[in-house]
Amino acid sequence: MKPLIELKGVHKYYGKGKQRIAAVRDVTFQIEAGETFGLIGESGSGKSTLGKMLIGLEPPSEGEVRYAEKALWKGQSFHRPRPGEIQIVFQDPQSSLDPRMRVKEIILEPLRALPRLERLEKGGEERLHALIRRVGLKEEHLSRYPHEFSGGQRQRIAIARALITDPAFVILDEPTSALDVSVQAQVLNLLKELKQERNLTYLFISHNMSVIRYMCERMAVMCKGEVVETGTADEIFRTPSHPYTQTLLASLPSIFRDKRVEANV
Amino acid sequence: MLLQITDLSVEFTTMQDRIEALHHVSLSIDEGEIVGIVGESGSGKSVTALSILGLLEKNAVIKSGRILYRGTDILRLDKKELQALRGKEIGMVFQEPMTALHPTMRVGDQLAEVIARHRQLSRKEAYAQAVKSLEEVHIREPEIVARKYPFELSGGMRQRVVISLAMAAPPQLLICDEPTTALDVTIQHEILKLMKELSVKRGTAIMLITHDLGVVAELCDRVAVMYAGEIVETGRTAEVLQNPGHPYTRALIGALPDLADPAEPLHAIGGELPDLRSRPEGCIFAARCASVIPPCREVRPQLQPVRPDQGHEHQVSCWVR
Amino acid sequence: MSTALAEASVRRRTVNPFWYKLKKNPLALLGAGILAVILLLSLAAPLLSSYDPTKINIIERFAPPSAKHWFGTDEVGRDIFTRILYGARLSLGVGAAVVLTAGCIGTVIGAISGYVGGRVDQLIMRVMDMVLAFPSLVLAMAVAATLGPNLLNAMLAIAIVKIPVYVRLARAETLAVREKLFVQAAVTFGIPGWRIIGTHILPNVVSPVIIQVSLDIGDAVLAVATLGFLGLGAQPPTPEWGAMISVGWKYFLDYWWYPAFPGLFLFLASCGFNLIGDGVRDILDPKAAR
Repeated sequence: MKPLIELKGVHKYYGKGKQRIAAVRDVTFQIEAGETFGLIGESGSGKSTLGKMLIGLEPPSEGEVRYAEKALWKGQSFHRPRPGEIQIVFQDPQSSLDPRMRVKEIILEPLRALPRLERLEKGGEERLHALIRRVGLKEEHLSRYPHEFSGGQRQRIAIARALITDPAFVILDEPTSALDVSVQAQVLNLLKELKQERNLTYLFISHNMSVIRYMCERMAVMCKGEVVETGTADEIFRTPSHPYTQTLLASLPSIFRDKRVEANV
Repeated sequence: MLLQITDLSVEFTTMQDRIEALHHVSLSIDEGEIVGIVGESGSGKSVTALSILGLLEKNAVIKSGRILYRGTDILRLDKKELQALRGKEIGMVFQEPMTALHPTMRVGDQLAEVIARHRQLSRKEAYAQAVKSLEEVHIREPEIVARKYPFELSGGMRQRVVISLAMAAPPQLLICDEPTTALDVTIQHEILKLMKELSVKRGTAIMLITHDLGVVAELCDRVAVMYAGEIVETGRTAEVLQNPGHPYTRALIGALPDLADPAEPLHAIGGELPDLRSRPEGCIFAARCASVIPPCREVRPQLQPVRPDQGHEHQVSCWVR
Repeated sequence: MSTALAEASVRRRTVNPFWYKLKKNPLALLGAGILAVILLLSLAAPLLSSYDPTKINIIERFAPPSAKHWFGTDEVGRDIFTRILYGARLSLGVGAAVVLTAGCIGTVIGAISGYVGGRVDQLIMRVMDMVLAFPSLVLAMAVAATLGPNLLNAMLAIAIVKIPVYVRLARAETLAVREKLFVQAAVTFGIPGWRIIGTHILPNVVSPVIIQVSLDIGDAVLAVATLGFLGLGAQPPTPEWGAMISVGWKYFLDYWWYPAFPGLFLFLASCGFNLIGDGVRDILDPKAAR
């Protein structure tokens, strides 16, 4: 089977001449349709830059970024597959929702880029209500403003917004990093369920090893712009081969390393 | 007993409401002990720290309680006495290191200034001490780093400098509010190790405020779990984490992803934080609790030993046993 | 240490802190009070006075203030009180209209300049710098003199001079808003730039612009009066304060009330706007807050 996403020899430089910094260096990996692919790295590792390339916010300086066998970037211009095919959920739900729009307008916004017929079909009242309930909110929330919601609820709104166009591929850029653990658990579970129900493919970007472990089948470890290790999450967590991955795992607080299931609720 | 908080209640007045951020909180810290206060946002953990430091906002009112530091009530000290206490006896480290550093002063000079003030040393001696103290927080090439400005350092380095500033006096108690939250995991790990090392070496007690049970497990001797302005469970860290007595503590642990068994769905806590404008009659956690029984909604439980036969250290405020 | 409060507070906020603080500022309230009185007087002008502001009545020229003519009459016997009331409509209305026009045009230009960036931004900002480089009153005088002295041209002149202020303000705000994730998100949806400016940028930059507008109306009222006084604005017999003072000050030694009352009202209105302006500035400037 052909992979859904293909990155080949991708570089990203900022600045010119002597000032040039490589944010991403020679990154190659593939994401199969239907899987959750984790991208882990610390701040400045270049993981978010890769996410931005896939969604059209940053062109690569070198290399190929393909979606369903078609190049996403030709030079500086982004070739969107089909509006709404790829969606993103950002880390900070505080800033990712326009404070001056009502929830309903926010969720329906991505449809504005669609052709009229499709817009009407996907923006139907019934579909909207089903979606808002599915992400764990209520119909009456549709007429409220973002500031009336907690961080977790705002992230649910952002998820609904990403799903309204029926995407095939969703980039989750640290979707729970700004949330409390109990809320994080709700959101992660929701994301997992939605993936099952809608046959989604995820790119899950995070700095949190245990979250990646919970969410992903395969993963890549990034360090200083390079991918140092790729493989299934099982393999990498059991037998990390790169020293950096080993350090990452060793740095995990012990509660994660030997957490027992005895903490049943 | 180094620090003893008894029955502390703090109320914030906003434009339209009063919010009781702390509700009858009691907690003590022994000399040289590392105590963690863990809770999610809105739990009141930061308010507790700020009350001890006398740094509460003007719209906060202490409604009841005492904070005894070596027998003196901090809440009765005037501004000057408090400041003296903060500089000398109680150090602080916050999440964002830049707030504690002077942006346009070289790191070594900042440290030297504080050291000179506390130990009556000459500028030169103090500077030598400053370089030494940078070495103590495991900064490689301390002479070079001492000549740098804060913005030239990475987040982890800055936090090391802040710790070394806070330890300059050296204090008896170090209050750390989310000291590693803004840092990468590998660096977080090193900073936690460093804090533990300094605490043992200098006999400094640490009060660690965090949202991260992992950090608590790593560093703390004892832990207090806070929820909505109340301490719901307290005890030895290992004991609390292995045999959590309060449903909230259990839920917090259950919400963490398990590395060994990723297929197991996470145990999320349903619902939201209660409205702190009016506290419910009964248990503060009742509305979200999975094991709620009738008395929970009517009578507020007090902190009680979990197993009175095995000592009084592990306490829990819960009706369900 | 807002974290502490944020942590403790319940998320919903219904009281707008801006109005709350404004209400606690006595000087700003005084300013608002003065303006409200002037505004009410001007709106109720036909009820308060039975005179026609432009009707000549030579017999009663230069009548001193009395029960019949509260503020006296002018050189052709028009009731000054009446003229001031109708003039208030003109002065306040024209001031507001000028600033609103400049605000709207400036905001749109600024938002485009900030959002598009690059060469377009460079070009727009250099033009604005050129306009700002002239002393504004001199420039307004030049524009008004070129276009011909009447009220409409005076308004246009002042509006042109005011536009760069709003362009700069809106551009600075736009640069901040553009980096917000919700704008980035809109870009990822494939929504065209003009639409993003309309739905996300403009609604999020208007609040500071509105505040600036409220601060500028006073200036504009004064500027309109100044041009009127210099003969470049409203022409007699229009009851405009500046024009009234312009004619009246020649008679000041013999008939003091003629320039004095229009001057007093111009002073009061200007004071009112400035008091509100100071109040607003106090609230918005975090350094000034206690």
